[in-house]
Amino acid sequence: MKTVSFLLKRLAHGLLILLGVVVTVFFLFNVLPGDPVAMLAGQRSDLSTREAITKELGLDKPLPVQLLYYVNDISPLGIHAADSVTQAKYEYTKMLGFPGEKVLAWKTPYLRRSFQSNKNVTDILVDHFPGTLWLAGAAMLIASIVGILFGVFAALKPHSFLDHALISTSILGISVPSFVAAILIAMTFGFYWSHYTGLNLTGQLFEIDPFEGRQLELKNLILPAFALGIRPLAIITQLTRSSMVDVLSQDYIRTAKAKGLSKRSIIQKHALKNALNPVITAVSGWLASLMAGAFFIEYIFNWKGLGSVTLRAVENLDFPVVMGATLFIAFLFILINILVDLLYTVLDPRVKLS
Amino acid sequence: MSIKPLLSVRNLETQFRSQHGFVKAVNNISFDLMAGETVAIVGESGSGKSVTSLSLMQLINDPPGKITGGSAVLQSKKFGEVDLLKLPEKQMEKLRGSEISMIFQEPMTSLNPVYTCGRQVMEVLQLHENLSRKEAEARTLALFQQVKLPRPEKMLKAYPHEISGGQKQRVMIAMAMACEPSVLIADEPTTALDVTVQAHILELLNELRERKGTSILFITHDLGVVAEIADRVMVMYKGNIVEQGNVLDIFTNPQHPYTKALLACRPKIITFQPVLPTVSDFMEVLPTGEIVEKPFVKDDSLPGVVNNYIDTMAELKRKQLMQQSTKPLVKVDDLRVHFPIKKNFFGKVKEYVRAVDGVDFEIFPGETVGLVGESGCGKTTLGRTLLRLVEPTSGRIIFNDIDIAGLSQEALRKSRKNFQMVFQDPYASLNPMLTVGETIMEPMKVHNILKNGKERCEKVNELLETVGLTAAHFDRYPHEFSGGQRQRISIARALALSPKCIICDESVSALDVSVQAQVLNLLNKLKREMGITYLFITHDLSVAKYMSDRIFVMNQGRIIESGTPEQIFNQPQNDYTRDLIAAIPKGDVADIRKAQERRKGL
Amino acid sequence: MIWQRLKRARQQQWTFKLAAVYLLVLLVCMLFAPFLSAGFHPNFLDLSQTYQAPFFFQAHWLGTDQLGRDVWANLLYGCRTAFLVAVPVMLLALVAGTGLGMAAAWFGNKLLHFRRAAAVSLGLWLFAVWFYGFYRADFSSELDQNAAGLLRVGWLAVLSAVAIVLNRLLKTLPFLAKKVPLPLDELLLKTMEVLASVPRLILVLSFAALLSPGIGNVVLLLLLTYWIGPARLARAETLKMKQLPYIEAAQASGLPVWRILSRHVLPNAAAPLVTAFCFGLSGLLGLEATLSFLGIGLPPETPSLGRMLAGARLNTDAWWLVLFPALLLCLTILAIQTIGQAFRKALEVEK
Repeated sequence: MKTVSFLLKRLAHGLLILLGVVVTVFFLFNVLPGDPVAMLAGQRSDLSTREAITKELGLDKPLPVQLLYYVNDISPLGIHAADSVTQAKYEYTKMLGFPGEKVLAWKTPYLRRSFQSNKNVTDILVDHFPGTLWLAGAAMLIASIVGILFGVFAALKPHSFLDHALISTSILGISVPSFVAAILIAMTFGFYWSHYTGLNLTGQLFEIDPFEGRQLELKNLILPAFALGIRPLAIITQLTRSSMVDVLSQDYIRTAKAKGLSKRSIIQKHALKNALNPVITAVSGWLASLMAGAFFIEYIFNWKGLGSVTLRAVENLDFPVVMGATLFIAFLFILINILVDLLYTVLDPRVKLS
Repeated sequence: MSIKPLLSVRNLETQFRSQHGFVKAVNNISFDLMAGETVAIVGESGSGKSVTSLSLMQLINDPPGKITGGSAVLQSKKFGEVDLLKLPEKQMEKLRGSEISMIFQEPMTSLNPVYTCGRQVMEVLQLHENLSRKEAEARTLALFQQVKLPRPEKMLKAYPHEISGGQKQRVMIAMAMACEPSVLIADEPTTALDVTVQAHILELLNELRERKGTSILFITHDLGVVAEIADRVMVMYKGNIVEQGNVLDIFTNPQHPYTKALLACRPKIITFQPVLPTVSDFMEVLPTGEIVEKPFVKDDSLPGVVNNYIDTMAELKRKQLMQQSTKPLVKVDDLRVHFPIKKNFFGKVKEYVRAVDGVDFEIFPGETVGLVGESGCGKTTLGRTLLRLVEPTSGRIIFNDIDIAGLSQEALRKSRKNFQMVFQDPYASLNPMLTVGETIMEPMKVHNILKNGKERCEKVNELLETVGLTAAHFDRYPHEFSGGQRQRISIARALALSPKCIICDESVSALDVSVQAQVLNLLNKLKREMGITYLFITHDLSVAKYMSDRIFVMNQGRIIESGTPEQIFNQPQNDYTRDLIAAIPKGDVADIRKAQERRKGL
Repeated sequence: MIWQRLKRARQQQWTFKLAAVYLLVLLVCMLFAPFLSAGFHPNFLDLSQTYQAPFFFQAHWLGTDQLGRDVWANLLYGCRTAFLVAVPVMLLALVAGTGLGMAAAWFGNKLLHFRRAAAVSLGLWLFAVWFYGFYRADFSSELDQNAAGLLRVGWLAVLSAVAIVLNRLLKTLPFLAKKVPLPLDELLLKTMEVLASVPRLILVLSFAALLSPGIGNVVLLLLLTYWIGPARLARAETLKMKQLPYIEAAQASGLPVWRILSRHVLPNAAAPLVTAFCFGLSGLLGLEATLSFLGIGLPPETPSLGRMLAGARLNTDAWWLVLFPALLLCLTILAIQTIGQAFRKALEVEK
């Protein structure tokens, strides 16, 4: 009961924040100069096309009304006209009819259509999301495992040679901007030394083989995941180390020693569980920002994902795609934050559900 | 001697590496612990008493610490006669928790927060006695019953943060006693607890010792506690044992000046002393480190008698004046402070903590009012509310015909020079970024007291000398001072505004007894010289009795009893007050005899 | 005290010394870039000498890029650009964030009050300014720039005057005259949460792509998202410190709020804030390079390390176009991070 109430409250709060994000993003993109109609219709458009588009997007209405239209479009539960054209556009499922040819309907959030390709933005995002998820997931996996190991080793012998070596390396890892790291890694392992490594400069997770069709190529994941994982790896190392050093100086570790536990089981049973709590929270919190960070990695390795599609959209001033991607990532971010909060209450009994 | 001591420590020496080379924390100490005996190590902070116990368990962190010499021979059941200091780590692990175990000072942090209490006790049993989960759980339950934890089945599944400090310490004791060790080291096990809880824990330790025949090495700073529990006492001072012997001998006939000083400088419940003696009255430490006894000037020497007489006269006069002037300095009227703890889904508050729940009292000019109570009774909140550091929920605080509770922020700010506060933690109550001079001068600057910086500087120097520091300390930063000196600086800062009333919130609780005596003497001197009114908040009844003209006893947000110290101590009306007074370890000879007889009877 | 800490850090750590010396040399190089660039302007196109490999005894001793621009000159000027973007952004973000964070933590949700009338007038004023100033800004488009500017200032003055009068009038109504507490902390937290949920990179990228290129716009844009970090930190530090007796003692001495915040809270929060500044600064240097690498935000004629790195994408054999700017960027960021870490260590020692 308590968990349900907590979850409800947290979801309500998340929804509120999401609404705030939608409003912020909407206004930010609407104070910008530029004529969306011209962009959508192209240069050689006639007046009637332009008017039709203006009407469809509601651009002749005041800004607050436009916002309402937009929210109605992206909300899974919305009110739409009951005709078949609108139904085809939104692909909604009717739930309740209203007088005046309106229906309350359930649908996949409609993020409008790309200026460039005229494809449904939701479809574009859904199509490109798995690539990014694979990349971010792999990077996070490498970073967590190696980073926690490094951090624990550094903390066990503070101020030893190993500690200093690991920490200085991690500072270096944090210092290198991700796109620089990506270029260096791509050029070194995927180009100059590709002879020895057998890796390619660019590539997709699924390669189309002329004979066998779509094939999973996990080795193409190695370089981009590594490039993306360097920074989190370095940060996790530092975080684990400082958290572990802190925990090892706590009174309950002394109690565990006084109980007669061996050093190994003290670290495994008593220290790690306490030390990893902040690390796990941080790690899951970064997952969303990691997806955003994957942009340059995708761009440089030519990886099919949210990043490359968004960057292309930015270059082409393709508003709906950029807005859609922004909202999508914000949505993920908020969702992950709620999950992290829940996770935290499981990991640390001191944290109350409130 | 036919009986070998259970634990025999010879020439133990432990050093710590610091910036200035190695410092000997424990210097060449020797003592024996017989089977079934309780030996107390008494000393102030930095005396090396805790380091001694940690050395025996080989729990000194290396670096910076290192055991550099000596032996500690234990008659072990598993390994026969072994030297604890030279035992390899693998064997030491087998002894820790099973034959020699330990309880620590801070029950709040000594239990792992992410495991249940039951699991942490079971862990010891499973480790040393190879019990199955089921068996371990049954044994733990039995242990929890033995240490008298309420609802032991529930406690098995409780997390440490869900139970009180006294209960946590009981869990620690259960953990330490799980494998029925032959030696139990208790490192200040009751220091962080309230007096009534302390009394229960001491009782429990005594009982367990009798039943299981465990030897206890009891480390404490409190001589009163020693009298309750120990057979023999060792007094430590700067890494050395300066005196050891029977409890009764030490209390009735102390030989070493330091022991004499320790016994003298704690405020007594029974006798009245106008000025508390301090360590420097008894002895002098030569630059060589040698301790020389000073002849202690007893109060019945001529100047002493005269001073005493003058003091008493002044005291009487003051009290008379106080009663004549019927107008109180502060009048508190039905004051309430409630903190919200539970809100419903829409953010409406459903449950409050009633920290202060309808308090009325008056404080007259020139008197010291002691506010006593155990932790969580609301005394600190009450003190802070008088300054409006906490906003009152309702009620009035009348000072000079003005209700402080209703002042606007700006008016409140201006009125604040009338009240000052001296806090408990000497290490956190001074801004580390400001020099002592700046700290004391700042309030004067803000309230435009005195004409210019130069005059204020002079005033600061004057204040520094009043509190027993020198003008040379003006440009120093707080971290260069000891706890007692910092408390003096805090007092000087409070005095800078010439306040009518100073609220002392546990101001001496964090200090060693000898330093505590100095600060108490200083506060009394200021009261005599400047006629300052004190609200003295403390958990320590003997200090409250020593300092106060009137005492308020507080419990659960209400003042349940008030009166002169004599009234409160001789004819307590309220049950709670009676329990409180009964729980204080007094350290009288009669009490020691009684305690020892009681132990024999068990 | 901060200087004392730094001094101690300097004495203890050779890495700190090295980093400080490196940054000083870099600063001198950036200041005297026109004299050190061997007579080449960073945008001087030497189309006869494109993709020159570096060789010490030639005019372009660190080589040239695809348009024959001198690498050495571009390194010097590129560094300048990076710092010109990063330093103001981080400084402003630090000032704004710290101020907001400290104020929110100190005043919480109850201490500050405002009249409902003031809120109504302010809201109307903001709406009017936005409506006439941004949304329907075309009414003045036919006038020349000076006249339009004058008209805008005039409008602003008129609107403000109306708002003030309105406030006076509304105050007389009993409902609007009531004072209600200002939930400052709540407002700040919600704002930060919303802004933190919007992926910073996309926001910066799309805005940089859409606004007219220029350093000023980029600085403003980055500021929008970068004040959150310092604000969070300052808020947390202030909340922690608010519990400490020395702050309570300052309060009990009747010190005014601004004095408590500036003399007691700020100096004690300075070390973590400086550390945060160093980390933010290094992040911004990287971000500037990233934006220029993508050719977004800064005008293409601005010399930048990122622009040089982008040149390498056209010719993967031109290793010098990757190595030199990447090395310079990494070393600079490493030096700044080292100094930040030294601060943190000095702080740990203090504990």
